[in-house]
Order: sequence, then structure tokens, then C-alpha cells
Amino acid sequence: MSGIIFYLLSACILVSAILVVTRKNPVYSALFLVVTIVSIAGIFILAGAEFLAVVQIFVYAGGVMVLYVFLIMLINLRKPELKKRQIHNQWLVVVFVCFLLGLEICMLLIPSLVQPSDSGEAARALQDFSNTKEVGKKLYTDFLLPFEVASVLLVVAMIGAVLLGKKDKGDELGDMELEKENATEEMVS
Amino acid sequence: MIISLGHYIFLGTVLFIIGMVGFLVRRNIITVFMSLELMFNAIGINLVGFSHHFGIVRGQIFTMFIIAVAAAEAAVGLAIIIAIFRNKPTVNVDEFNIMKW
Repeated sequence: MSGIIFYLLSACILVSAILVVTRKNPVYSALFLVVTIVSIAGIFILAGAEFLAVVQIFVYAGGVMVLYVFLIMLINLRKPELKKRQIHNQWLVVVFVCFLLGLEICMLLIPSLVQPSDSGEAARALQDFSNTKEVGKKLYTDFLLPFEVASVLLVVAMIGAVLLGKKDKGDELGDMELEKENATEEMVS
Repeated sequence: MIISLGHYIFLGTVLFIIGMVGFLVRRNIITVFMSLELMFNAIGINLVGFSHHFGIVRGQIFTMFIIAVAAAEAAVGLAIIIAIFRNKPTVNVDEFNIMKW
């Protein structure tokens, strides 16, 4: 049963990931990215990581995707821009290199797919207790310092985003002064 | 049917390579960033698969940190896109050559 669900979710993830990469309009890409992320949350639940699945849906599908959709609406691409060529000139090289890399990793992985090692024992041990409780305990004891560093990182990112995103007041004043100077020069001449 | 570690790694690999192709091939910078998110998620699947296999929650905690880094990256990256867009109204990565001398 869980095998069928795994394959269904995998198919969902891969098809929508390919659609994310191939759609011309970024709005469609964003929608398919939401589908991918929700399916990945399903995979997380299947792997016994319920807390992570909820975090994935809250942070990715709720937070980051809203950011993307905001950006798409702010930039507001016109139709002719989307009609243009959407891929680089070097796409052939890229596809070749990525194909080689994929082939290499698949060659390494195929033995483990053919002869699946039984991970049942450890997995059942993980199923027995509350996942959220265990993650919380670990996060606030062993991983306390990384957790705090992550919060600092988020604050820095927030401040950085605000600084980068706001209009530069100094520049505007500079432009106005420049215009004034130009005007006075014209008048003098 | 049992889902082995290989299944998770295989799924993560294929997703990572799709994201990599998108990252290197697309010209639209918004789609490039979305491909980056795909790659982050592929890493997350890998880590959760290992966590499931070995029966410890450490992999899930690392995935949480990856999600935090991805959120920070998205915020800063999208702000940079807006800042560039103000100077040069284009979203194609091969036209962003303002730092080239």
C-alpha cells in the first residue's frame, strides 16, 4: 500500500517538476512548484517525518511561494517578453553534462534498487514515538546552537531584503540636485 | 512492498537533476530561482530518506535548517532581483552584464 502511494507521489513530483522547468510563463511555474512541494510533504509523511511535512507546507507552500507570486506580479512581464526565446544558447552542453551525471548516479544506485535492503526495523522503531516530540527534544538540546544561528540568519536575511528592496533615498536626492545643476547651467549658458 | 533507501535517493537524484537542468538552461531569472528550490527539496528528500532508514531524527533536523536557509535565500534573492529590475528592466540572466568590465 505504502509502495503504491510512494510511486504515485513520486510521479506527481517528477511530472510537476518537469513542468516547472519547461513552462514559459513563470506564474504556471509557480503553481506547479506548489504541487511539487505538497507532494514532497506527502513523501515526508510516508517517511515518518510528520512535523517536517507540516513545516514544509507552512514555510514553502505558504511563505516562499507567496514571495515568488508577489515578485512575479511586481515585475509584471508583458506578453512579447514571454514570446522570446526562454533558454540559453549552451543548453545542449548542459543537457549532456546533466545526463552524464544522472547516468553515473543511477549506475551507482541501481544495485540498491534491485536488492532493497530491509530498513524495516529502524523505521518501525521510529514509528513508535511521537515524531514532533522527538524533533523538538533534539532541536533544543543537541542542535541548540545551530538553531540560534538559523534565527540570526533569518534576521539578517530579513534586514537585507528590506535594505535591498527599498528605494534609495540618497540616489533620488542626487538626481534632483543633478537636474537642478543642469537647469542652472542651461540658464547660465 | 517495502520502500528502501534506494527509492528515496533515486527520487532525490532525479529531482535534483531536473532542477539543475532548469537552473542552467532557463533565461528567466524567476524560473532559475524556482529550479533552485527544486534542488533544495531534492536534498531534503535525501536527508529524510536516510533519517527513515537509520531510524534517527537527525536528518529531519538538518532538513529543517535547509528549509530555513532556503527561505532566507528566497527573500534576499528576490530583493536583489527587484533591485536589478529597477536599474535594467529585464529578467533574462544573460542580459545582466552590468558587473562585467
